[in-house]
Amino acid sequence: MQIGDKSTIFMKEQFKKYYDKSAGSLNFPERLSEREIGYIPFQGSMTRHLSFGTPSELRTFLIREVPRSVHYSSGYYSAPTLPMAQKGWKGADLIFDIDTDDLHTPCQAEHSRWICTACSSIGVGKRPTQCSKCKQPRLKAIKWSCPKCLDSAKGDTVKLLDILCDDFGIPRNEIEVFFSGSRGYHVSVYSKKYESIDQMARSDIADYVSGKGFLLGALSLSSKRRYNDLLRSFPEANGEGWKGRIGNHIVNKLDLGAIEPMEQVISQISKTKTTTLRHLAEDALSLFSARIDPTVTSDVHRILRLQGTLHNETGMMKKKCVDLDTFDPTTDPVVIGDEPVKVIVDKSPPLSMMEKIFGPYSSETVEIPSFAAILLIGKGFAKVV
Amino acid sequence: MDSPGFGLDDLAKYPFVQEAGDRVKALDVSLQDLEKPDFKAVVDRARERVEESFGKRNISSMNHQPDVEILSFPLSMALVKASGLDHLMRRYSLSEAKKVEGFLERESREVLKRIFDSILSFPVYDGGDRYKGLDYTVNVEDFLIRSVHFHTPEWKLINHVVSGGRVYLRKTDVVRLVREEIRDIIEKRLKNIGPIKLPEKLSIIVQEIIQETPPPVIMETIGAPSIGYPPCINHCVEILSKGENLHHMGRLFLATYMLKIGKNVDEVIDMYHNAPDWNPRVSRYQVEHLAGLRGGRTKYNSPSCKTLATNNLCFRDPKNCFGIRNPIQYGRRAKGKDKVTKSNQLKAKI
Ligand code: SF4
Ligand SMILES: [Zn+2]
Ligand SMILES: [Zn+2]
Repeated sequence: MQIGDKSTIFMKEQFKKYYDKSAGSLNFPERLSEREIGYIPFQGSMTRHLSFGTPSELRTFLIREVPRSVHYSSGYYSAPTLPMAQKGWKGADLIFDIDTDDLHTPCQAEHSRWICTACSSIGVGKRPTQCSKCKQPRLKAIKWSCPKCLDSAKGDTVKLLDILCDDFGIPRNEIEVFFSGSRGYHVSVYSKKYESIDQMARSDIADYVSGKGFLLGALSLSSKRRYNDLLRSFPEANGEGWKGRIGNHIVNKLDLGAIEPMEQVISQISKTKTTTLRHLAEDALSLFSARIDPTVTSDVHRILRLQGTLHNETGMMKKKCVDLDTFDPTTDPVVIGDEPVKVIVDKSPPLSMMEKIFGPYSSETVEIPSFAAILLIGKGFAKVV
Repeated sequence: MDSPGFGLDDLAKYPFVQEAGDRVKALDVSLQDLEKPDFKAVVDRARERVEESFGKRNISSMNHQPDVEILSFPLSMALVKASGLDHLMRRYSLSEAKKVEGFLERESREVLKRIFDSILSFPVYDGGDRYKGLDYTVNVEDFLIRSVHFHTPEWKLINHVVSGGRVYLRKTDVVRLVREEIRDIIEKRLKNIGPIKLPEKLSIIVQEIIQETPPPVIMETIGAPSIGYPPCINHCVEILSKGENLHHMGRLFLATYMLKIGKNVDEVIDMYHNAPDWNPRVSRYQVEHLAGLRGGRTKYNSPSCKTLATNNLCFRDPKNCFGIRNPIQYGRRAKGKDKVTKSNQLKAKI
């Protein structure tokens, strides 16, 4: 997208309308003045190391600047405007990012597209090594999330919340869940207990919630297992944590739930084939874990999209999910208006928004609501005519 | 004098607790007194404590008189401090802590409870009888900030029963955590001792100790990236120089990395001198194997950042580790500030 072209002007106008109308009532994360703020304008490159003393200063800034995207740091600093080494890190929210990109949903085969950064032509399917039109190798995958992808991300978010509340004992009111504005969910934990832990500890938490590094040996499921080992190491009925989840899964799948006492259950398990047991354990790990991006969780200096601001590729808002169950990512975060606008669109997958489906379009000029146009423009499929 | 919590025998075993310090004060022995023949046993024991920390064995727990044990502890601290050798301070702290670990493993629940309360900076709770053998619980956050430094799969959070913000632990696990805490306490105390003026006899002992102490692991910076080694390498070296056990993955990584940046087999083997289970023959065989001089003759690559991260060996520094996939690339890519800002831009979750 060229600076000053019709599409960018249109997009900025729409963003301006939104900020004019809504910025005044936006809420920001606690401890705003200790966080670094960064933004990308419609023209020019990213500015970082800003800080705002009060929410109202930031609101005024959004209205005046109409940024293309705005980020805040998960970390708190004594001097957020100084370069990283001198900021004085004081702590950071514990954050999790669930991105449809990491979920490998089967539908991705249907909606994956690439765009050539040299000649802007778009291709269907997985990104090849060079552009089929201009033969340049400069191709970028267009990341697209359909309702199925987003559903899957929601499922992982629910699992994450279960683990955070049950295992880590984090009160639900110290956790906020957001739709990221595009491809998934951000979960922020504001907890005195976890704010000062370092990168290594965070990375171990990331492994925990994503089920990585479990030693199956700890369950004595090896081929050399003996009844007594199993009796000692197999989780008691209704055990907690991962061992408990895996144990319960095995008991349920082998249909031993009603059997008592535990010795009986164990003796049944000890007769089951090792490979079966290992598979069941691995199933449990993948069934109950949350597929998060571990690099986000372990980074104590991460910057994330600011809640209430618009996503530069979709025009949708990063929105707090008050009730995750009923949250609909194809309607709830849509804040751009529905005035029709004429755009030329090429090779876009079907787009579900506001209970309608737009496309698939292939080299055609269509008149569609502004909210849909902005998303197709932001992703690179459309231009205002 | 009996303190309400601990008996004299306990103080002899745990000479770093407050009550042991009180006992030392009450005995009112000056450094000058220690030169007298009456205190020979104390001086000998103090020297032995120090020497054993760099010898093969851990500090012995032979049956000395409780007061000899209690008095020899601060004296051995003074000897170590006076040596001015940083690596001796580290080794000494570790070996005192390991000795205590041995005692703790044999203690009853009540004594343990008292020790935890008196020295730990975090609470240890009774685990109830929910899980057999898991007699204790600690808060997840207290556990994590300590467990990650052990760098073994067994210490990963996922391999523990975690519920309601607590981690269930066996006695040996808690004792291991305590050992770490004690090592820390002793090391900090050593650092905080001001300059000491020792009487002549003791000064001579210090000189002898300095002579006997093996040299520390030195990291030659030849061949290292100009901005220094990556954090993951520094960490492995730190473990080794403390005389602690670097687990298999860490050893493999350190060796392959060093070979890759051009160190020779002997230089690499030298780095492992301090490992508690050092065996020159085995080390040589392993390192030569990695260098491709033996076996399949494949020269091994240094593991990727991703592999290191899953093994808890990655300590990513956000500036210089950005965008690299293998520690070998560290210091070869970072070019000035602009580059960093740009990469941070891409890193933002958008
Ligand atoms: S990112 Fe790579 S080089 Fe940096 S600390 Fe981690 S493993 Fe080492
Ligand atoms: Zn092209
Ligand atoms: Zn999809």
